Order: sequence, then C-alpha cells, then structure tokens
Amino acid sequence: MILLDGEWIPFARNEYRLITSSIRSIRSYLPYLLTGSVFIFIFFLAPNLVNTFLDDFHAFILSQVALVLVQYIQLMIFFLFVGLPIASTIQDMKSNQLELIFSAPIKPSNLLLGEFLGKLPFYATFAAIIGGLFTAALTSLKLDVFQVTVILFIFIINFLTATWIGTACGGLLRSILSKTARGRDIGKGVAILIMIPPVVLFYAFMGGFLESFKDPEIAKIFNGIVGIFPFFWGAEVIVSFAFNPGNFFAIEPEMVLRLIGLVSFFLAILWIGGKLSNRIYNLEPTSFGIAKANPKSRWYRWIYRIFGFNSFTILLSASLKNYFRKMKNITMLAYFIGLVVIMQLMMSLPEDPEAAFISNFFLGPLLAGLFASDVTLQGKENLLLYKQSPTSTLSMLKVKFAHYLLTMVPIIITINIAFNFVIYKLDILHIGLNLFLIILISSALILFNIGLFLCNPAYDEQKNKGEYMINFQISVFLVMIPFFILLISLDNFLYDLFGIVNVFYYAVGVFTLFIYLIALIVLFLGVRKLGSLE
Amino acid sequence: MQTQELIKRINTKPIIKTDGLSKYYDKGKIKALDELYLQINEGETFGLLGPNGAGKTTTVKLLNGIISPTKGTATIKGSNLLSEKDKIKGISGLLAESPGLFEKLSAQEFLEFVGALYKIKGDLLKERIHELLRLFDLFERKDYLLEGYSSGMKQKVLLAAALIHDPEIVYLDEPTASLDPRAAHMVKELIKELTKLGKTIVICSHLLPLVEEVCDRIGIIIEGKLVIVGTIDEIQRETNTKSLEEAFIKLTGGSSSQELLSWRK
Repeated sequence: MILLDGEWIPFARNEYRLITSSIRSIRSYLPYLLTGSVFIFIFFLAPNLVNTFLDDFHAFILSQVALVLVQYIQLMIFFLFVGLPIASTIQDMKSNQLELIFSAPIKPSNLLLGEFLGKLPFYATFAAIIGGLFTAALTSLKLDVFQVTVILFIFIINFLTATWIGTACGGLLRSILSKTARGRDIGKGVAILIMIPPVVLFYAFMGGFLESFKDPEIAKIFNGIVGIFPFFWGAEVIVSFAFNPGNFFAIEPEMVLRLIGLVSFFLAILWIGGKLSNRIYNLEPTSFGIAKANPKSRWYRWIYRIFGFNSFTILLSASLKNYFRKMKNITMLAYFIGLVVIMQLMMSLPEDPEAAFISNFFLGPLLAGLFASDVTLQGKENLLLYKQSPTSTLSMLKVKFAHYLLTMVPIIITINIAFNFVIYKLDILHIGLNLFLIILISSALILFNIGLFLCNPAYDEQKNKGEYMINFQISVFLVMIPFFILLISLDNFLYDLFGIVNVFYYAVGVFTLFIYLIALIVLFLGVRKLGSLE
Repeated sequence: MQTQELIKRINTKPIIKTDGLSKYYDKGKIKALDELYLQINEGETFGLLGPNGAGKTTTVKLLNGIISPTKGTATIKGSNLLSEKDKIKGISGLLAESPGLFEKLSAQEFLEFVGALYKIKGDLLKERIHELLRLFDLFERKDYLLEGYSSGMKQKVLLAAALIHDPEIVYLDEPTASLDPRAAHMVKELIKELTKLGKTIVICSHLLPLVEEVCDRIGIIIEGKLVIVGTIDEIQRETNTKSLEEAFIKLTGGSSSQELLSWRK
C-alpha cells in the first residue's frame, strides 16, 4: 500500500539528486550509462576476471564445504549492504533537514522508503558487480538459464533485504542520534565502526580463513548459527544447482519452502521497518543536558607538569582536548589500528627483523595522515584564529607537531612491541632498533602531512573528500614507492661497490634522510600557503 | 499600529488557541514552555519576543506539530494539535531558526522537493517556484547549488520554501536574520502583503524594530512563561515605559554600565 500512494517519490528523487549532485551534467543519461556498464561487466569482463580463480572456486563449490562457502559470501554481502546505508545516513546527520521535512504532513515510513529507493540504483550497481562475478563463476559449471535466473533472484532478494535493514536501522539511529551534538558525534563514530565487520570478513576471506571450514565441526557450527536466519535460506538452492547443472528440479521441496521463507522474510521486514519507523521516529529532544568537560584529568595534569604552565602548554592541551573529545576521531583511530592488526594477523610474514619492520612501518603514514589531517579539518576559521592573534605560525606548528607526536608515538610503541614479541619473536636489540627508526620516520611523516594538508587543505571531510583522500594517497605512496626503489637500487649499488650483502638498514637510513628532506620542503610550502590564507 | 485600524482588519475569530500548552524536559526539571494560554486571531501578525532560550522556538515547533506537548493542547483552525497534526501541518508554513537546506541541491530542486512534500501538482508547482524565485531575485541563479549561496540568499530560499504551499498560517523564526537591509526591507514588505491577503503570521525575533513595524500584537515570553500580551501601546502602558525596547528590558532584566565593565578589574 505504502508503495502505491507514491508519497515516497519526492524523497527518492531528492536522494537521487543529492547523490548525483556532483555529476549533474550527465545526470539525465546516468541510468543508461550505469546499466550499460553493468551489462558490459557481467557479460564481458566478469567471465574473464573469474578465470583466474575458477579452479579454486570449483574445488570449493563442489566440495563438502560448498554450503558454508555460499553462506560466508552471503554473510559478507549482509554486513556490507547493511553497513553502507547505515554509515551514509549517520555519518553526517542534519537534524534541521529532518525538521524541515517533518514540518510537512508526511509519514516517516515514506521518508525511509524514498531514501531506500533513491539509493538503490547505486547500491544495485555495486551488488551487480559482486553478483556478476559470482554468476560468471557458477555459469562455468554449465548451469542452465533457469538455474542462473533463480540464483540471481536469491542474490537480489539478499541484496534488497540487507539494504533495507541498513536503511531502516540508519533511519532509526538518525532519529535517536541527530537530536544532540553528542549524538551526532557518536553517529560519525558508529559510521566508521559499522564497516569493520565486512572488512574483517574480507581480510579473513583473503587470508585463507575458508580453509578452516574443511574441518566438519567448524563448518557445522557456522552453518548452525547462520542457518537460523532466513537471510541465508537460499544458499542450499545455489549449492544444489552447482552439483546438478542443467537439472532445474534438483532442489528438494524443503529447499523450495526455505526459498519462500526468504522472500516472506524480505516482505515482512519491509513492512515491519515501515511500521516501526512511523512509531519510533520523532524529533523530540530527549534532554537539554549538555556534555560537561573534565579539564583537569590526570593526562592533562601530566602535560602541564612536563611542559609547565605557559601558552604553549595551554594551546597544546586545547588542541588535544578538541581532538579527543570527538567520538569520530577516537573511532577512526580504533578503526585504523584494528585494520593494521587484522592485516598483521591475517597475512603474517616470516619471523625476521626486516619483515617485521616493513609490516609495522606502514602504520606510520596511515597514522600520520590521520592525525595531521586535523590541522585543517578543524576548519579554516581555526587557522585564521591563529593567524589573527600575535601567536606566530611557528608556535602553531610546534603545538600541532607536539599534539600529533604525543598521540602517535604511544600507539606505535605499543603495536610494535606487541607484534615484534608475539608474532615476529624478535630480540630486544632488534625491537629497539626498529622502534627507534619507525618513530624517527613517523616524526618526519607528521611534519610532511602537516605541510601537505596546509598546501592542499581539506577543511571538511565531506565537502573536501577529494583533497582528503588525495593527501592520504600521497602520504602512503610517498613512503612505499621511494622505500622500495631505494631498497632495490641500494642492493645493487652497495654490493657492487662495497660487497655489502644485507642493505636493508642502510636503505632505511637513506630513506629517513630523504623523508626529512621532503617533509621540510612540503612544510615550508604549506607554511607559505598558510601565510596567504584569507 | 492604531487599535481602530487593527480592529477593522483582524477577524476576531481565533485561528490559534492554546490551552495550557507546555513542554518539559529532563522529567520536568527544564520547562521550555510552561502553561501557555494564547489566542491569535485570523489575519493577525503576532510577534513573539523573548531572550535567548526563552521558549519561542519551542512554541513554534509545538504549534507546527514537529514536537508534541508534555501537557496541554492547542486548536489550530479548528484542528486539534494532538490528534490532527497532518491537517495542521498542511495549513502551516515554517521558516525555522536553524534551517535545514540540502546544500547539494539547486534552489529550483530544493523548492521542487519542498513543494512535493506538500503535494503541490506539477504545473502549479513549477509556476509558483518561478514566481517566488523572481520575487526574491533568485531566478537567474535557480540552477546554482545552494552550497554556493550567501547566507542571505539561503534565507530567501527558505522563505520561499515556507510559502510554497500558500499556507494560511506562516511561522517565521528570525525571518530577517542574516539578510542585508534591502532584503530585510523586502521581507517586511512581503509580510505586510501577506497580511493583506488574510494570512496569519507568527514572528519570533530579537529585532524589536521589525516586530514594532509589522506586528499587530506582541507577546513576551521569559523562561517558558508568557508574561505579557498586547499591542505595543498596551504593553507600554502596562509596563509604564516609553518604548518597546524599554518595556522589553524592564521585563527581561538588563545589565548596568558598571556591571558591563567589571571584568576589567
């Protein structure tokens, strides 16, 4: 009924217009462009792409663990397509927009449905890419057109279910969190954390976690847990078709019932989501209470004790407080650390000091970029505040450098020591040496990133997403490319000239000098840019 | 405004009538609005004055049905606020104090969206959007994204959005905030024109000259309580003052010149 009254149309159109705002010139033919690209991908690119892993896929899909493999893929789809709408809804909540919408006579369920349908073409494109790869892999088993159609149907229902659950949960979270500044801040944090499960599942997938399903006990437990949820009830049909290509009637009556259950589940959550939103959605502020600061915590008392009570310390404390009182910053930090930890655990390298150095080394550019982006993300006004006072640019740089170093070094020390002891089992000397070099390089990276963000400012993560991402890429590639070039070139050069075989730490030394040189140049350019800021 | 003129223009039929309308937070500890008994007549321009946090915006949000009262109720054009919210929203237009623009839309797209929320049909909507954009001098920029508009231009777009469905009651929360003098003058003239058409307008503002110029009657609200209602003459008489500003300061309290500079000691 809700679909028929058409009251969701303005919201769907609005959502579509908002998403395509930056490509307005091609908006009118975007649907054709997307559809065409998806067709080209499914029928031409995907079959070629899957050729590279077809043998492994066949071994799995025709094995005893085929069912859990399909369920695992469905689980990834579930978390991804539940997470994406939630993250996009709550990462930048504007309660005033809701106020404007609800000042008109509309039902919250229409708003939700409109947002869901407005976003659908874009998520569907993404889903078609994943589904296209999966279908191409299955087609190689010689399934007939009806079997492929049913598999695609299951995939579409899975995708719609997950996206709707994500949209409804995102909408409800928004109605709760958007009322207060604290809630909006928490929303930004949750938007980051919500994407951790699909990332973990992906890394586990890439890291060979599926091998553990060969243990029948583990497979049985996994199947027992996920099999309860109707979302996974189409997996048996997919597997049955894979084992019986060309035989459409290979599925048992019980499987057909489960398939009906899957469709009914989707329709039920569609109905429940709408009903629930009409009941729960409101714009009533829950409290007028505001968060209270704790200015004299032990951490800040410690900073005052070390640096003394002077303008530098006051500015440093203010910078730290402003950073760590934002939930989004803390969750982003947790996300990055979590990402590095997962990567280390899933793709652990051989136990030697050089491998340990390399794997820990890449935490540096990530953290330096994350922290130093704050120099402009505080907003242009914040920079102008420094500029309009007699406080010199040098004072600001000193404060920001101290802030980022004080937060980054303890994290680097903890992660390095933990992994070097537990995974790489290094001796104390190598742990100390690696740590010293990584801290030295990370300090240079902080200076580099401060300069970079001043040169190419990102004042707002949403509005200046392009600048933000470009700076991050530059920071990461600036470390990776020169480091490996140095390693390869010095390997030949030092051996030819001095007969040195192990050049690794020589390369690190030269790289450290190189990165300081680049960092100081970029910082100089950044400060010049700051001077002309108006 | 002379009382005689006022009586001639305003229909004495009440269009908004509140009955002990209240909004409490934190289990009644914070009284954003407390026991409001107010009657606003059809065709009247009513000004709601008060210091920051007095409860003006809460009143407007309650009357528009965006939030629900903790106790009490109101009748708006014969519809009950508690049971007929959609009907009330359909005849009201709101210019909020902190407006929620969709900055990635153009003015035309934004007004189309708001018009669709009020179910205005295609051709009429298009025509009305163009008329309003011309009125507010924005027609030439109708296809520019709102993120590039100045705050004054944004305020004009929001005013257009509040009027797009030609509502019978218009709530304007700080309507001339961030407008340049020319645009502010245009808004004042617009309010006067709307009143001539028989619209009922409720204005919340800190700007006393605006309220003095366009409002028929004024209510001053302090800490959620309506402390006085009447024409400017009546308020001055009752507070024994010579101007609205004086009356406002007398009712809300002000700082002495000695207090103002005490921080320098």
